[in-house]
Amino acid sequence: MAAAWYGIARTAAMDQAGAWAEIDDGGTAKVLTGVTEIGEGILTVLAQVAADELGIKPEQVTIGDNDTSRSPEAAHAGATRQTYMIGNAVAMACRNAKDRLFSEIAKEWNVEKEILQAHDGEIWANGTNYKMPMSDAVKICKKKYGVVPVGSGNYTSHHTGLDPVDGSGKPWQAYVFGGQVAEVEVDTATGEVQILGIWACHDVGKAINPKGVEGQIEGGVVQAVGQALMEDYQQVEGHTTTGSFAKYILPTSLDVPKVTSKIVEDLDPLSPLGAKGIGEPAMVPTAPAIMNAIYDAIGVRIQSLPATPEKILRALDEKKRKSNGKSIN
Amino acid sequence: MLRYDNYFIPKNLAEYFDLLLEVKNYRIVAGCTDILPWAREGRAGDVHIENIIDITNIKELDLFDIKKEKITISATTTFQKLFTDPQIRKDIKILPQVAVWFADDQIREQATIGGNLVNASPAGDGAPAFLTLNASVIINGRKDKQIYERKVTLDKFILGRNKVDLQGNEILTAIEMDNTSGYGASFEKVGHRRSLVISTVCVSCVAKTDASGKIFEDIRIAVAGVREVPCRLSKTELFLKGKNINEDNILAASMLELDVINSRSRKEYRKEVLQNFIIRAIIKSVSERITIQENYFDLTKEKQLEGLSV
Amino acid sequence: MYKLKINLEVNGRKINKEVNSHYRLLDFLREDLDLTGSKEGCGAGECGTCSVFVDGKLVKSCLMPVAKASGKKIETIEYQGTPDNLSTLQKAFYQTGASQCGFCIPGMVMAATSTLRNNPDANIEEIKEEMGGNICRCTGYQKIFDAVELARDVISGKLDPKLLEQYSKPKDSYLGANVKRIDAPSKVTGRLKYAADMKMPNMLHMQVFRSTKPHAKIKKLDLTKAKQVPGVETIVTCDDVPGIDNFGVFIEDQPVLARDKVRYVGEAIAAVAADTLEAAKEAISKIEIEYEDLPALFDSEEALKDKILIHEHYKTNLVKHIPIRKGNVEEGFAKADLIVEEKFSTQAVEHAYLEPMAGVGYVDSDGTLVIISPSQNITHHRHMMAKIMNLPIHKVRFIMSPVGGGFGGKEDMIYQGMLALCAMKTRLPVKYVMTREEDIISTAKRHPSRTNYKIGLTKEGKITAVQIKMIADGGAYGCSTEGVMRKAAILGAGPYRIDNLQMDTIGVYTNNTPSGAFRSFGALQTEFATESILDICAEKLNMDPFELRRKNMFVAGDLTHTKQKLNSASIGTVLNELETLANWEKGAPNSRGQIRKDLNSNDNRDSCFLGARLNDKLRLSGGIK
Repeated sequence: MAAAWYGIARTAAMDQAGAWAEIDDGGTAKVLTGVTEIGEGILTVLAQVAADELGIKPEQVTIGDNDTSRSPEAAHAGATRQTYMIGNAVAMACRNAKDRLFSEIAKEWNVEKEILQAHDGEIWANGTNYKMPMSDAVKICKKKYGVVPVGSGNYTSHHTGLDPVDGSGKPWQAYVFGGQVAEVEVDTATGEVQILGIWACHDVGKAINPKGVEGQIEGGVVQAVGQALMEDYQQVEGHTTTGSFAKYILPTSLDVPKVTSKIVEDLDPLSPLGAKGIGEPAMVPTAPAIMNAIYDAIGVRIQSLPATPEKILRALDEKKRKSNGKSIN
Repeated sequence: MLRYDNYFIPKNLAEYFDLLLEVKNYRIVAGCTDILPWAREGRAGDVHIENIIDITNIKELDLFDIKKEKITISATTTFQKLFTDPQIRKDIKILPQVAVWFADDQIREQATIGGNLVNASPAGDGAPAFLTLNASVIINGRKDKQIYERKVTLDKFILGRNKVDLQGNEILTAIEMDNTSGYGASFEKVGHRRSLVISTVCVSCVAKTDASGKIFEDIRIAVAGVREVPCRLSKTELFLKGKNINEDNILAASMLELDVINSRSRKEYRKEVLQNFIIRAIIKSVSERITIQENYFDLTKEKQLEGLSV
Repeated sequence: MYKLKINLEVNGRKINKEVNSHYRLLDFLREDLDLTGSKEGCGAGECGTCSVFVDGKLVKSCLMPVAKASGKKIETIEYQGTPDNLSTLQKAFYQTGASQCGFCIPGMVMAATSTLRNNPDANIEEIKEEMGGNICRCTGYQKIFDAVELARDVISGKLDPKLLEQYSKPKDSYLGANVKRIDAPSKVTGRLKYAADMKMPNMLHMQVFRSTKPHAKIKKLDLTKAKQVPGVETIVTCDDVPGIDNFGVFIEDQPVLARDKVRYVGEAIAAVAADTLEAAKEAISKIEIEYEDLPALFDSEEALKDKILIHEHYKTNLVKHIPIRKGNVEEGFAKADLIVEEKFSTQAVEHAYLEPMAGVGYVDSDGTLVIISPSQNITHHRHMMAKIMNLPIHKVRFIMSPVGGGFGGKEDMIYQGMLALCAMKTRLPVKYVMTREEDIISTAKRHPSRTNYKIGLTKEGKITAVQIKMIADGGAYGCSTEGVMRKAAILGAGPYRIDNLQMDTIGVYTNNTPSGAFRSFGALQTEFATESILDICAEKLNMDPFELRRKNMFVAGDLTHTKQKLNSASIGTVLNELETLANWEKGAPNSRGQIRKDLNSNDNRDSCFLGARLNDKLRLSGGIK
């Protein structure tokens, strides 16, 4: 097994993200922010956040393109920051837009704004019979009261730099913890290692899309499997000898373990959504868990990655020689 | 990038030989699964060949004949056909095993056994399997306007790394092999991962037991990946033929020809794996008739490391 | 260019066309028919993103000369379904969350379609085997297999098609709901356009002339013959840069095109924009260069000696050293009953996102420079580009194209500067697509590392002191080295209470390929060492590895290695949940060995051997579990 921890968002520097939101005709919404979808599923997460805040369905949210001339800055895709920074910024923007809408509907129904609620496309006033579809609410807000329900939001993560001598400081405001267990099978005839199963448990704060979190864990684990067993970018005198996928070996469908994930939700109190992140933490404990499992299985420890079949066989031979009292060649 | 000006697809051997007289600066291709990856940075780089001659439509190469003693299949047979054909699956068990280890399904639909043999890569998987089937290759050429045919055993056809016995305008048209109905088979290969992998070591074995299932009636073992040219382990085969199928004989056999290895790199690893593969391949190829425990060998190999030199 | 005539059927349409004779089927589909759903992830038959059906057989179209396809029936991803009318398989991919960046997905859908057509009852082993020729870098394959199995069962009638529609959601919230990915329909149908799929009228093609030397002065660069190649519009070098010529994620030390000297093999020296890809390549081959070799450094420890300098004006090869000091390690080791000292190392790793780098640059109608690329940080790229091109920042526009995998590898602005130069000079749209090989040798890698580790513990297992020194090869340019060193230092000693800690992470310049950002950014390297050495200690103390972690783990209120107070630390909960989840067999880390008692559970897979489709048990149970 192996444990791990990670920090969320930019390291030792302030992190920031901005967003705009508009509740639109038909009770739909537009959200615009500098979001960089790289496959982790952030677009879907943002649609869920917006839908949840605004009281509509995620399928009704359109997220605008990431364009430095068109969308507000939300900084980059990396450092496991987007759900945390941009998710929260979008939540703030949506609250702002919703507030505008609710102010007008409160007037319309002559009720206190605080008792209004919306979910799944309907808006109602708690404790009364007042209820209508969001599409009607938007129409009234705009046509009757002349207010376009737009909003903007910003989220800041307060980090400090590190002291240059002893490194002290607050590099992040949110931390996540995780651990993984690996089960391996070693073919002692060839030194090949097969990873049969990985069990992964990660604290991600509030999991906005659990299936998406699983997908990140599964993908991160397999990338780490690649580094653990077979990937090796090599250069000789500065020239690359592994310059193609024929020489640089990536895991295929036949090399991957079954991954069983469990999500722990230790909500971040400083994050309006309670969410933290998973993108990078997912792959930190994997390689040591695998090396520890190989040791458990055959009594050899590989301390230099990757653990190729050759290294394993060589280590096994050395172990046999040692235990026979022979000297190492 | 591979650049070429003309792509010819001759329909028959006569057209093919005529073409060879007309064009200069040409390359013969079949499946194209080797030439396109080759013409890329880090290998041959950008390559310009004036003329490509694609032989996959030559009608005389459309041959797939399975008889009781021998099978004769065209050089342009794809590896996928070796994997899917029901008769081959039933009777010539080594071939689908080789096929499933060869690249992946998509590449197998295009890659031909002839192309693989003519490339004569030391890591090529086709050759060792065909060697265990006592393969011969059928070659056609044309001289003085007459198309002739000659047959060469596979071991004499492969001359060295990337070198085969094709002279002048000759073309490899077919491969003739034993029909090994009644034989068990096993193909062992190791690389850096499970699929789409280049062999570091590979062993091909076909074997037949006698009626009692206790004696090696016939056994053929070939190796590749560890030397310039694949070869049969004839000493090993001779040792086993007629002997009882038991652990001691298999272990003794596995030590006989480990000096076939002449790779330039990773010799220690290859030697160890080769011996393990020979043992495993023998065990599996008779496994339908008799069960031998593999873990016996882990213990005895320890003894080996102590005393016997390998 | 030579042409040939082909006659074939593509997605039910009869096509009769003249095509470049050297095109592969993939080029014909993408360039001449604009069927860009089939991708060129590698061009060498390794990745499967180019898979199409030819007469019903699935093949890799990057390996098929177009002439071979004449007279045949081709079926591409575009034929399988549309975003509003998905095939059952595509619906299943959508349902299980199988698409992440989406670049491998069209190929995967094709491979899955082929698998189920050939074998409607395929079991998981058979599915994995038949899809073994397609690589995915994002998903870990699991949800892709789930999709194929789901589709198989819906098609055969075993499962209700309604399972393809619904997702689970908490009653009153969309947080915690498994909402289906909103970008999946465009990805599973191959309709989403990535940068390499984009075409603009009058577009030029850019190619790059790269260094073949690891460290050399450029004595002479002769572009005369190259400029004469018909179709060439412009060739740019560092002399064309109008502003301050450097970029980098933390340290801006890399020129857009090599200036005076080259520092690694693959560094860009000149870029050609021509009307066809072939003309651009030809021009590249005609560029003449004279190098003066300089002594080169390939080992970080050697480089630290500063006998040879890679960036002269920095006066040292040290990129960044991050120290962390807490307590007093001498005292801490003095208190230890057990001291373990070990060395660990990790290798350079390639991101291998399936989408090779690509981009389009142009100047729009109001004079704004526009760059479309799958960049992970368009905000920062815009800043740097404005400075490099000497333009006001609002006259530089970066548009993010869909990213076919990033993992940190698309954070560096490694080619956008060249696109900008060509676009500004020619005032025409310019497109650049890296080949896989070009991408591998020229873009940043994960920092390879060497770590010296010393740890002291009491016999009860309490850590008393930790001393870690990690040296990382930063390669020729700074990229993200500073940040990677920082993260490696802050997190490296693990989630444990350590009163006495001495941590040093050191990033160094060498003439190797630059090292840069890669998912988990330094923490992976140092935490690898920590978690490995803890198990070594657990064995020596005869302790269960979970127990050893528990003895030392953070709890709320503890100070981290940087003396920050943690308001919460879920590691305790995580470890407990993990132990249960994995059915962990308690004991020291060398006890499970030959036979595990909990094999054949549902949570792990069978030992994988090829031959699942041959329907006989070909694999004996050799090996140790």
